Amino acid sequence: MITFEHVSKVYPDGTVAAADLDFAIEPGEFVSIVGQSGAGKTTIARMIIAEEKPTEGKIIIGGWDISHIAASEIPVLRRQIGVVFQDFKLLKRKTVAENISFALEVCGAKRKKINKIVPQVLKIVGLEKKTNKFPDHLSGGEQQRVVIARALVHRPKILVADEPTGNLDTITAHEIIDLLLKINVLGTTVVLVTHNPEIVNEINKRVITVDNGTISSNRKKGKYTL
Amino acid sequence: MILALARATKFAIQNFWRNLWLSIITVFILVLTTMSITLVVGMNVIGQQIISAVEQKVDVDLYFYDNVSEEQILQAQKYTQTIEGVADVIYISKTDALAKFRESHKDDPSIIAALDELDENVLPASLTIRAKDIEKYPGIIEAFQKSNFNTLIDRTDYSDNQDIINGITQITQRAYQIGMGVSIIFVIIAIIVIFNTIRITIYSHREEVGIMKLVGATNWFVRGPFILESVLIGLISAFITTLLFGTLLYFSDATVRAFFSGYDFSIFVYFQKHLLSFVLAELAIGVVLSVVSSMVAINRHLKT
Ligand SMILES: Nc1ncnc2c1ncn2[C@@H]1O[C@H](COP(=O)(O)OP(=O)(O)O)[C@@H](O)[C@H]1O
Ligand SMILES: [Mg+2]
Repeated sequence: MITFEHVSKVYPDGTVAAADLDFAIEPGEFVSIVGQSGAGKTTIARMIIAEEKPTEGKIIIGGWDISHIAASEIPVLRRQIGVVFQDFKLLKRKTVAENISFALEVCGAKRKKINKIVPQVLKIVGLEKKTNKFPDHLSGGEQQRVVIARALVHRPKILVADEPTGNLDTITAHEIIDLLLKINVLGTTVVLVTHNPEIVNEINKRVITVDNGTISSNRKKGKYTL
Repeated sequence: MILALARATKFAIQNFWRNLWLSIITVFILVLTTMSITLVVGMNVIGQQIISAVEQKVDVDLYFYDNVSEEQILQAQKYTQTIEGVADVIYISKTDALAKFRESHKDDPSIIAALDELDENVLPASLTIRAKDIEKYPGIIEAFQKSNFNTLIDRTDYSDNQDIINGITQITQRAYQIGMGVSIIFVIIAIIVIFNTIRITIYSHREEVGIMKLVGATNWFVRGPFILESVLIGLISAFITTLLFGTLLYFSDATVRAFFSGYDFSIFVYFQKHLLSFVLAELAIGVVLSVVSSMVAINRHLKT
């Protein structure tokens, strides 16, 4: 589903954020990418959705080589990958339902389709009752659920979540992880980026550890080792 | 596609209202710009119209000595018609001249009374020459003066319209130069202001834009609303300019008409006649300026 072949990324300022990354993620897998802050985890996530292009090497998503993807093709890719990123929060002036509709509207979805999908994804994340609330009236965990719901509107084959538990307390964080596990069970390949060892150990699934732009360990059922 | 356009239009209108002051200022600047461009072009057009109206009135009158026979005059007329550049030669006999004179002084009883006292027609016969082009007159006069017929001529009258034409040409040229300079300054200001307006709009929607890109909105879907907002600004400006200009012409019409009395020219009628092309021109100026500047802003600030 996701293949990195000798991928390197050097930012324009000379920072080497990825050096010769080589790994493959199979369809239906739940993979945690872990590592210390600055290790290059977010860079990997951004390369998966073509927000950054690799300096060297090949990235293949579902058989599609996106290493040199054209700007006009990027939307096609993004509609197949759900994204939960730290810096893409909810729009404060829109309700929960409106936030989710927005993601469909801007992709040209018809009203009928929107009206069908919005309740579906809200049900998956368990927020059917908060449809008309504004983000500020939701807890941190609930807000994150809406973000996840929004990432699901295109029924993506892949979900990339970068530090989805970043600002949440332990209990809420676990609830979010449970939700991601549930989405994975429903058939979506999940890539979870985190620096929280406790969470990774509990998930007890595949772990790719990144250190200083390289993979330091790649375990089938892993623990977070530093 | 239609759905996308409808959504983008809604977005554009919402934005326009949300930043109403910014929108008003932007429109105001764009109106000033289109107004000044229109004034420059309009002045030129009107100048041309007036000049050609005046040119049609330019002629040269050749007055014959009293003893010259009608036959000789008719020969002179025939000859003159063969001169290069002559459009028309009209013979005005002594009788015609008297009738004309009476007609044009019919409101002046003392002159009419004086005429009636004379038992002889003192008015001379004449030929009125009209050239095809105002520049042809000197050549025509020269050719005539070289001919034998010149000896029959008592005096030659040039109508002094040439001065008016020179005056108008000078004024319009001067106005054109100044107007051009002013317009260029306005165009630059308008581009900067619109560029900044769209940039501010993009900035205040950076979250939406980020989300749009992340969820896979196409490039045109992301840009469309901002382009449409600039189209909206252009449309409104064109509308206001047309309205302002129409009003301006309507109220200055009487003054201009008085200034060029005797020449059948009304700028307001002219404006009405060319209203459609005028509106189209305003739209073109407003929308093109606005869209071009917004595209620059979009290309600079909406990169993926
Ligand atoms: N846009 C960028 N330009 C330059 N350097 C960057 C950029 N983004 C990240 N970096 C650098 O690349 C390295 C890896 O960053 P990142 O992938 O964000 O790490 P992580 O997500 O593991 O904390 C860091 O040293 C970071 O400072
Ligand atoms: Mg990161």
